[in-house]
Amino acid sequence: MSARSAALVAGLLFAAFMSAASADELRACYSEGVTRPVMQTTINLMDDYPPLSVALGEEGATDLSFVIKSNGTVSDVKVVRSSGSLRLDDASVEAAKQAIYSQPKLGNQPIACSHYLRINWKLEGQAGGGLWQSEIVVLTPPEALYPPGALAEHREGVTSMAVTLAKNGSLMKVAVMRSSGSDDLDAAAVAFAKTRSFKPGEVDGHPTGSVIGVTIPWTLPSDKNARPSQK
Amino acid sequence: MRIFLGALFALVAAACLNPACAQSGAKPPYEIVKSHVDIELQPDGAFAETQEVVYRLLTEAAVQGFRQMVFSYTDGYQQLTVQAAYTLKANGTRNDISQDKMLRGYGASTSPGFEDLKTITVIFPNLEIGDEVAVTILFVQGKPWFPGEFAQNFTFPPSIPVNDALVSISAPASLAVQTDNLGLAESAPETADGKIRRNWTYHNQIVTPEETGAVSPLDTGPRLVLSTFTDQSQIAALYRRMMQGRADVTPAIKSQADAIIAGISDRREQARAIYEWVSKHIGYVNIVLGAGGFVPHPAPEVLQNKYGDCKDHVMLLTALLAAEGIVAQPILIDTSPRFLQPKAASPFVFDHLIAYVPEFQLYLDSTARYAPFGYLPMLDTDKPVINAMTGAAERTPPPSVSQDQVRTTIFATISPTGAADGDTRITARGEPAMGFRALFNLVNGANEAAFLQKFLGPGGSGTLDKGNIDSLAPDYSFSVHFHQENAANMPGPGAMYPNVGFRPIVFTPAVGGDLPLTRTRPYVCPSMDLEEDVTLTYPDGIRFTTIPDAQTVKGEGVFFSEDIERIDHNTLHSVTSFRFEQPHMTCTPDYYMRIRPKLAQILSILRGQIIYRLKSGKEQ
Repeated sequence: MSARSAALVAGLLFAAFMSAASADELRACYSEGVTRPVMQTTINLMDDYPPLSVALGEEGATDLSFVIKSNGTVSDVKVVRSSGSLRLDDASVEAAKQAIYSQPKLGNQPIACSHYLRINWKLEGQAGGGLWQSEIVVLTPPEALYPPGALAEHREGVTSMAVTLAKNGSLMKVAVMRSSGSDDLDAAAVAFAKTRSFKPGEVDGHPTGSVIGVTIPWTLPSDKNARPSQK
Repeated sequence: MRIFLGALFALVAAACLNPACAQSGAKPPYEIVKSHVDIELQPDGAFAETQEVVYRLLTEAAVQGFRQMVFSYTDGYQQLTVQAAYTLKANGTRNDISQDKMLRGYGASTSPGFEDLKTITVIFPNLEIGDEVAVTILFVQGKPWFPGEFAQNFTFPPSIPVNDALVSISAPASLAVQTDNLGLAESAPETADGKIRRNWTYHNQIVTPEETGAVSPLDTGPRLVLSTFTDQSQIAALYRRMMQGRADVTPAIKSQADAIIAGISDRREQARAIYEWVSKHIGYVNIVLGAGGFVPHPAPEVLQNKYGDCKDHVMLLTALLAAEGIVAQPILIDTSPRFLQPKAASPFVFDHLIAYVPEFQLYLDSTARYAPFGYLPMLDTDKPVINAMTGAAERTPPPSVSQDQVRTTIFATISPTGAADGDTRITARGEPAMGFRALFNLVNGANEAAFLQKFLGPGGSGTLDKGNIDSLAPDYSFSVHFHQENAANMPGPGAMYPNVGFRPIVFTPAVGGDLPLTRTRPYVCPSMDLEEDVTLTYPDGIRFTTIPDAQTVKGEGVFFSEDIERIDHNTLHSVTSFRFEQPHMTCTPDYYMRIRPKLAQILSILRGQIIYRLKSGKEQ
């Protein structure tokens, strides 16, 4: 299973705060008169999602506070509210440190301001891959699905796939682990696997995301010679 | 779990061996761009771990070395998945390695009883200097080796630049994780929901070239040891539990032990006989302690199979000795060049198991196939150990200069055409004896001629008398009758060293070879005692223009002498001796800098030659 097999959604919520000036008179970026700084860079959570969090299916939202300096860079990042996972919180801090904002200004004067950010770590389909691989399932597609080109050229092979399932059993991703040697056989195998339903994984009676090995052996039907070839 | 550290360290070691390199700070073979380790520890000691590593390749040697990465794990306890692997070209092109390019296979052994060792090999094609190779693995120890306990250690080679290294661990607050940190920066622990998360970072762009023989970074840093084990005695207790019932004296064990000691009444000799029998008759499956777990195969099974790994050897040896009333204790030891015990007790800094017999105060390693009774191989010498029976921290004996000796005696005659015929006789003791026995077990019949010619040059030939190769007596003697073409340039004038023929022990590398100009780290400096006694008879009419004077160099554990004597009109007798006597297996860099001038002087003396010519008929 690839750590990147789960597509990730970043939900960014900006908390508006009218706070009193701190001891060092740092304005909130949302203060009256302040030109609100806008994030210039993209936080790509797919790249930054801790691989162990993906494996463990960890999700959650971290609320951060930090200072946007007059040059748009970020400093003094602090976790205001934990996501429930210190690992995701650490990753949130690192992601925020790399962010670049447009220059905050009071009137025409560049200033530094305090800001809040929520980073929402979410694995698509409500789960990441589980830690344990369950049994290998062998499927036999109906003859009608045998790719015509492969039939005509008398090609056989075995496509082995890894199927990632969410906690609720819905299919998140199908990846070819070992090719049959033919692109059309592999494509047909993937298409067929996507039409099937699989039993979700369980750990101690609780449903979990899982990866199932699915194998489709493509064996030519015995009456293959009777099939007309197609161009 | 073992990753491909072996190959990495070999790569590092090969990178910089000569003095010029040490001086100039030659380029390291690769750079660690990123190394992030993240551990999630469960209360029962199970854990999940990701390792994200990115390397930038800086030399051709690295390009070769990184072509494939091998990750190993033990089925039934561990699972391993490669989450991502890719190469990144200097122009930014990224090539992902698909799962079907990753090969799953067996680990260090496929012998029955060891098939649970597995590997995944990732192959990185089309690598060039400047490329980055990246891999993220997910490692799960679903069943801890020691229930409720966890330990792991991290080191970085001081000769490799490290840009961004991070070790993180999230552990239940109930599991107190001890640490022994030297060189990494630790940030303040974070706590939430009964878990404590700790982070250590390391980066280093100031590298020191690799120093040959340097001790492990576990001793000198940078290192980080994490462990829930309270102390060494707890580790010993857990080991005893693993070994319980595995060294029982069954009727089959008793019967075998009785057969081995038949006719021997002296107890020490009985122990010797049992040790030698196990050494000779039980094959050794060379896998590190821990790779195959910590539960040995039962002694009767090892006896029946006639092979086992180190812990199996210790079980059988212990059982056979116990059958005759002799107690043996299992000893945890590390064969890597580590000579100190980390402050955080961990069983995973040991990679080997040997035995100790308190009655005779002897350590025994039956996996060292040619080690005499009571002699420990160099890798077991002067090491901090844990006695698994008593829980005590002990140390194996330090080196003794009388223990590692080679005496070479050569008698040869040089003909008027410059060929040499003669005999070499060598008596070796200790590590050199073990080495020769191991070597000559591979030399026989067809390859003997080729083997001898390597030493004697083109046109050289000889016969090898291996002596008593099967004995495990401390001394091992063998001889070679040799013929060597072009041993001397006749009629000269010529120059030659005062020795010819079959000479497997050469002084220059023993003294230090290419002496590095500096050392900054402690290094392994084995004691030794070498002597070469050569009697060379030259053709009648030889005239010696120059014979090097007798010389002696001594001080601070170093003793060298060379004395060449003309004992009649055409015969020279030279005796060359080198003794290096150290109280321990390691020496400090300061000591090295003090003795370096002496070693350099010895190397210079060894370059001294005899200058000769054969008188023509007209000369008187």
